Amino acid sequence: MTRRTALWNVAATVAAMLLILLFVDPAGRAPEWARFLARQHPAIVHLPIGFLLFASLLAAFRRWSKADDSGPTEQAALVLGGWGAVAAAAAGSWLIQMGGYPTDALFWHRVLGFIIPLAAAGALLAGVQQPIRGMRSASWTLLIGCLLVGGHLGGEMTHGKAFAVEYVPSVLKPLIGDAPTLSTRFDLSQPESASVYETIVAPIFETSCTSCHGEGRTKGGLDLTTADAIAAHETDTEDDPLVTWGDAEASLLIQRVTLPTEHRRAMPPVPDAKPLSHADVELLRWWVDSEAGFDGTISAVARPDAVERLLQAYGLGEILIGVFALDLPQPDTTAIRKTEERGVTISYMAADLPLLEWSSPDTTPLYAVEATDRIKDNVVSVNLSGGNATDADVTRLADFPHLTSLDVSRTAVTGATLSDLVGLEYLLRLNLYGTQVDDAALDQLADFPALESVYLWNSNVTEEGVARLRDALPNAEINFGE
Amino acid sequence: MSIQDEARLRWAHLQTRRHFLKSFSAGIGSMALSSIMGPTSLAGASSGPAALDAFASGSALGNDPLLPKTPHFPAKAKHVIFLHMAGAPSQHELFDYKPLLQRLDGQQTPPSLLEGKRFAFIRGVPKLLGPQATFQQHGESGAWVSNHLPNFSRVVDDVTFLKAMHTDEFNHAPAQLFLYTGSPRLGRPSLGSWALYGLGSENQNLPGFVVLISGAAAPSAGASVYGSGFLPTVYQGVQCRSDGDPVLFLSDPDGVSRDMRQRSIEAINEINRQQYEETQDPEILTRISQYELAFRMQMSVPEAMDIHTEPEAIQTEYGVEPGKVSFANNCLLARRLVERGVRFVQLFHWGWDSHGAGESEALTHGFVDRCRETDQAMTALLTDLKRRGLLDETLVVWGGEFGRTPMLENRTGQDNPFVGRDHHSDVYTMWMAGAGVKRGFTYGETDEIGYQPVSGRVHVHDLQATILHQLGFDHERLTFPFQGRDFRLTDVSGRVVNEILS
Repeated sequence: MTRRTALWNVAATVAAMLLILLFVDPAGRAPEWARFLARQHPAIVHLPIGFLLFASLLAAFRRWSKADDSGPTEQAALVLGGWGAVAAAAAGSWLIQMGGYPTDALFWHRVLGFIIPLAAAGALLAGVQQPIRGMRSASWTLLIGCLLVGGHLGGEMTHGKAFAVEYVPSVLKPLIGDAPTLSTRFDLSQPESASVYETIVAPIFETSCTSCHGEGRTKGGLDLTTADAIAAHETDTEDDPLVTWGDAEASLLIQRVTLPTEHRRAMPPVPDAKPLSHADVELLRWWVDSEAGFDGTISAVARPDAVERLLQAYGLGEILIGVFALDLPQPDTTAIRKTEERGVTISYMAADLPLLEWSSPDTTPLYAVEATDRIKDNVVSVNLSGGNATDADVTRLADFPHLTSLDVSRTAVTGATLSDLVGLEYLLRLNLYGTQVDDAALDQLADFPALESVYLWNSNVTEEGVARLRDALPNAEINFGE
Repeated sequence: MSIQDEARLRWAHLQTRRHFLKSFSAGIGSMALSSIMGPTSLAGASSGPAALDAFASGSALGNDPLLPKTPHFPAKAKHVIFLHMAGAPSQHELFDYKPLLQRLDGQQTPPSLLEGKRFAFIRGVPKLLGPQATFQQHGESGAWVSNHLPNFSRVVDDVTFLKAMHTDEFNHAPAQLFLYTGSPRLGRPSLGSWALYGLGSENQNLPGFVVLISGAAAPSAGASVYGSGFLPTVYQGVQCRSDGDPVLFLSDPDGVSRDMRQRSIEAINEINRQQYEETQDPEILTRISQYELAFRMQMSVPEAMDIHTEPEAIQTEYGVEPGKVSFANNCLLARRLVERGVRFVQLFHWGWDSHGAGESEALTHGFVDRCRETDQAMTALLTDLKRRGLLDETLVVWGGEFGRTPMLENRTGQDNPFVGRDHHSDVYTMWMAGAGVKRGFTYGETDEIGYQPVSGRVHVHDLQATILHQLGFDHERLTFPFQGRDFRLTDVSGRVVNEILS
């Protein structure tokens, strides 16, 4: 092959690629006749990959054997591969018009796919006669790089991110790093603060809906890009509202994405776009049914089993609240043993949790400070029921900062010092049954908004005192034994 | 063969390769571990799985298998009270109200409902039998409860009803075994034994698993429903009586003082300990701790079992009958035992097998008596646990081993003045309360005549998984190695019914 022919090849390739760029607008609509060809993109694309890799093997062999110019086989492979890549780019561009692919990966796949025919033509030219110093290695590097990265991005779009490396042998794992998983789709690392809408719903809309129902193109007058726009959207009178909180079936959004794909109102419309996956529909349904709105956080919203499993597959870890979210050091086992020798039953709340429960009718071990002070941060429950506890012991318990449950039932406690415990932010449960607690003592509990349950049966409190406490702590359960 | 030869042979027999390897590797392993981990290995020893392994391998000499242990995750339930209505009470006369069944009363059962079904006694085409009770909705939750349980209907907002329970067995003994051991055949440990094996006992002076029996007979499956199966026998249920000696054969014989008893137990245990060191038979450890527990129980059991010390008002509330054996006495005892840290209290009340073959088995007579015997006491138990704050950490479970058919059973085919129902394993009602179970909730639905489940089915293995879950265990991880594989209560199935957990 002469240099002249190779130059013509470059010119023709550039012209073909320009034609595709000019006439196939990614945001446009694929013509009917091109749709069949578009869907063949995944098949067509493997032809140039094979030819071009074959050509690069020959080129590598040539370089190794110190031969100068390319042979006819290599040239033929480059021509076939280059024009195959042009065909693949054309089919791919129509496929983009048919929609349904994530935009980020698609952008780079497209850019690299456009470079490949040009790089192949360049490599052919450089193989015939070296026009500029370094062009030979530059064009080959570009060609192989684009082939590998562009091909991989394409594979990721069809098979999902982790497809290729899911079963990577553990020996190779350090080379690749953490294999990308499903978890990269939604950022579920902060379930306490991240809202369901921002974390899950908006990305689903972004993938499947906003190319038509976005700021630029609001088909059907619908804009799904912002919370305000979604909340303000008004549907036609014969339709249900876009979102009916608490009732997915009565929400137009859910109705449209669950219609059979043949239905003319089904969304996203086939064949221009892919229907939503079952998982995405489940998540949208959950968003509506759980009444999460635009602010409800993942941890605060009730999650049915099926949704919980889905979210776990997307990387949701265990949601920890209260003392379980604290990062406490393991308790001092010597101090535990010393405390146990004083007659206290100390038990771990669960294996692998540094949280302890303290149970003893006798309160003197509370004051064995050298041991007790070393574990008091770990103690979350103290049970002094039926023992010799007094008001002074209640005050001592203010030193146990992570106490969630305190049981001083059946003791001589009068409750006069209960206000000393006001700093215990985690205190949920207070058992005062069978004590000398009276209404005056009870009034101090109004300052404990976190309390969930208080037991007062068989004490000196009156119905008026209990009624006052119920007013002050409307969410707590006050058991008066009635 | 000389006596020395025989002893050597016996030693070799017991000192099997597995025992040797186990004790050898555990010994080396724990030495290495303690030198690496320093003081933290102590935490390991007191935490669940490690302690269990230590016990199974027999290296826990002197380490009491009943000491409290740590669950897999934070437990909602520290105690369980299981109220078993032995004989299987009819859900149609208590909770599962079906007006249509009333309208169809006396009609022939359509053959489509009988196809492929097998019953314990019904043969041919039975007639449908309408509810032998009147129903009303109660509480804020609007739960349907019949007129036979006037007291219980006041506390429905504290319980979760499981209306679509089902089991694999339709005869009493296998169904009871299935409910408690996860297998309809003998040989597996019971639910209470698993709980004790996993968690240990909070009170070292009382048995951790107490069984209280009332009614005219013991459960059909006998003591196997509270046996320890292949677990060390220290975990088996101990039957206590509310009349006479609380535990049989526990008191000192005439002429034996407590001092002498103590010295003899010490001597026996010393000999047992020597025997253990020679043979490594783990059952000897069980024997040692049982002698010690029995000695401690001599003091503490009579105190715990003495319901006369309860205030008059409480006795009246439960409706106890001091000096007798009754369900009410047992309910009050159950509360006293739980208050003292007993892990698992199992009640059996016999007499619910309402076939209608005689007056005591009739839905209109014997059944009503059983309701009267239990209604007040079980209501008082729930109320009493609740106001003491104990219901937060005590799981109360009520139910039988299966349910009863919506059809009339007429075994003789002749005129029978009494009505009854046959055994039915496809659907029945149980309820649970306390320890993280939803309040005022109903899970599961049955069809219009209460014959088949419609939704929310809960299998016996699911119930077991859920109870273990509330005790802090993953039912798939609470296992015991036996005959070459790890056994668990739920065998190879079981699903935690998260829908009923708050």
